[in-house]
Amino acid sequence: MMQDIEKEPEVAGIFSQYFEEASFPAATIIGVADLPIIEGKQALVSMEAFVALP
Amino acid sequence: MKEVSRPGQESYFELLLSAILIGVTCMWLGSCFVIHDAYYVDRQVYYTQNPFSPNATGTDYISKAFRSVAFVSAQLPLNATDRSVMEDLHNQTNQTLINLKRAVTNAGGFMRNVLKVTVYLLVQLVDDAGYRERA
Repeated sequence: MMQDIEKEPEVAGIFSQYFEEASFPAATIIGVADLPIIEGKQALVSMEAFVALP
Repeated sequence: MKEVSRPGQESYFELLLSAILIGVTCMWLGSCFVIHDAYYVDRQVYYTQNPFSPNATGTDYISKAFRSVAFVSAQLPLNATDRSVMEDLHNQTNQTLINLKRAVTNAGGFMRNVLKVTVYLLVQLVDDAGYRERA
């Protein structure tokens, strides 16, 4: 399941705090069945990114 | 009267030619090695160790850099200070972005240079009607 991040306003809203509007990256959300359990708590979100290095 | 060369006189010329040929060959080979080395260096993948990655992920590295592009992976909502994890999606997203920003910086980049982000959400959250209404 893949969708545009703007369809998830809660995540997109937090994104806008970390990325300037002019350099907002392409972002997709993928629904996955499982994520790691850390310190006994379920991780609800995980991220990965491609970065252009200067 | 035909000049008779002394024995070994031609060999000087041949030696000179040979030396030139060997020199040119060495230069060519050297340039090949240099190109090969440069090619190899460009092909190298650089890893950045992740000091914050929890063992649960089985991931020891947060980023791989190829030439001028780094791939930052396995960013989780783990607080690096006290290794705590928040319960709700809002705080977990915030913490994950903090970790992502740190990883990007460690890889030598800036958030403004992030090209693409993939967010993995538990499928229950994406499908959850209540979550949709709240959002």
